[in-house]
Amino acid sequence: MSIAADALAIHNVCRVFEGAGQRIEALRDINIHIAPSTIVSLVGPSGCGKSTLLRMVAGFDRPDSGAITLGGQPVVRPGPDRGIVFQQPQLFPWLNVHENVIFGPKMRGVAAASYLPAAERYLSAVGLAEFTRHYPYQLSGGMRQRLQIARVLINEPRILLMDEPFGALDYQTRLDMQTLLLDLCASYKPTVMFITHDIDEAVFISDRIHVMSRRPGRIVETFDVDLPRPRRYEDVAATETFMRLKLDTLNLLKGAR
Amino acid sequence: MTANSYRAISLATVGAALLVWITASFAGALDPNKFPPVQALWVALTDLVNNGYSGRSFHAQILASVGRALTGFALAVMIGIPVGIWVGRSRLFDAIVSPFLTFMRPIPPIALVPLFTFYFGIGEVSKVSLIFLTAFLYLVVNTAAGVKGVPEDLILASQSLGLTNRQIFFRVIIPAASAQILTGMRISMTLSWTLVVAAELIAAQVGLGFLIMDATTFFRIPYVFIGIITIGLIGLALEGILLALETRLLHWRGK
Repeated sequence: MSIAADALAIHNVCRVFEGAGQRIEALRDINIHIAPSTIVSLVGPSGCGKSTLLRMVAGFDRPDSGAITLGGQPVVRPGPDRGIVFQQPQLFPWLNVHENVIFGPKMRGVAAASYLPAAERYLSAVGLAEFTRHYPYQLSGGMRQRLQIARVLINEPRILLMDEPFGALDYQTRLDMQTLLLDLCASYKPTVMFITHDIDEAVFISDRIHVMSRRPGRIVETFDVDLPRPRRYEDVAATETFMRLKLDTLNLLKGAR
Repeated sequence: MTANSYRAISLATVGAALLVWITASFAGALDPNKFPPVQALWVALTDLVNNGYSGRSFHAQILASVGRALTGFALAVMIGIPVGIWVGRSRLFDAIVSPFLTFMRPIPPIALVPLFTFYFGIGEVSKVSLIFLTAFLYLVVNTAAGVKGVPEDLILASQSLGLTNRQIFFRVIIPAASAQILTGMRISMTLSWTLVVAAELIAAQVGLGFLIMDATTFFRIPYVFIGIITIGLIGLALEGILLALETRLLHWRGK
């Protein structure tokens, strides 16, 4: 597979943090290739550098060596072609739901005639069509995450970068959000890089799972998730494939701790 | 209990206090030159409104104080908020100015009145400068804290949405910090008002502070009471205006 055919290519990336007399090797020789329209999860123990990697793909940080390319183009700075979804929803609290969604395209000078219908479409896709005039403080945790997702989908990004997006939600809401993400992926076919420490979540949503070691973060194993799509949690959660992937991942993480 | 029933209790307490005072007034139990009865206050108020005080009308006395407070406050807003934003955004500028700010903050402004009078005379400049300085220090600190408090991830999210640095500054950082900036404005407005009266007590020929000081010297206690009540009501009104502005502009904060 050539690099240009990948939606995202992370090639031999290393990252070392230095400061206060300390030298922390966060990531060592990371190689990840994400095919278009697939969902790839990174699981690993806390502090394994998975968020550091995601922030480099977002353009918030640079690798010390190695390269990150998006559709063949090197990543140099943050931009709307990568839609980042944080664990703590980073919404604009002074803007209502509708204004939050259109804020990006509006600031970039996109024509209203193009972003207004898109806003309507994505807000109803995430189930917020009834709440366009609400302000973030009036929304539940799950609704805030839905809004965060709509706010990046409207930019039609090449990739969604999701940093433990459902980690702070209660169990039922988390399942709803995972299902919503799969539905959105079925409709809009985005590429997704998903960070989580929830193995169950990784197996349920992903096409491929990379398991990372503790610091310095390396990829110790890659699993392809051979489960049918569309997936329903209640259909796949009890299958042997699901169970085996969960246990294999769990055993690797135990070893990595 | 509901918010309304607590409000009713507050109203009832104020009503009861007024009732005690009025009853004592008409029972003749109050000495007009110590704690004046209603009638004495009424006489003083009528005299003030009709004849003014010390050669100037009552509203001129009020306007003198309000004018000084608002001038000092407005200057502090115009300079203090930009400086505070700069302190909040630049580690270097913060490092340069914060030792001075930290040293100045605990000094009671009243301690500066004699020096300011010596420097700038007993005219307007000394009082307005004193109010400016106090409100300025408070605004810089609050604005800087508001700007520093903007979550780093919100700024990263904005960059990721494709905003320019200029847009991030005006459309993200300023609105995100606005809650604390407005709270700082409200409190420094109240500070400006308490301070103008204090400054006028020491050196002034006109103003509510001058009025109560002068009236005390001549044992015109009902006039002193009218002055104090006026100061209190204007203070409440100023705070109320800013509080209403805050509630209106910051409706997105919720309760």
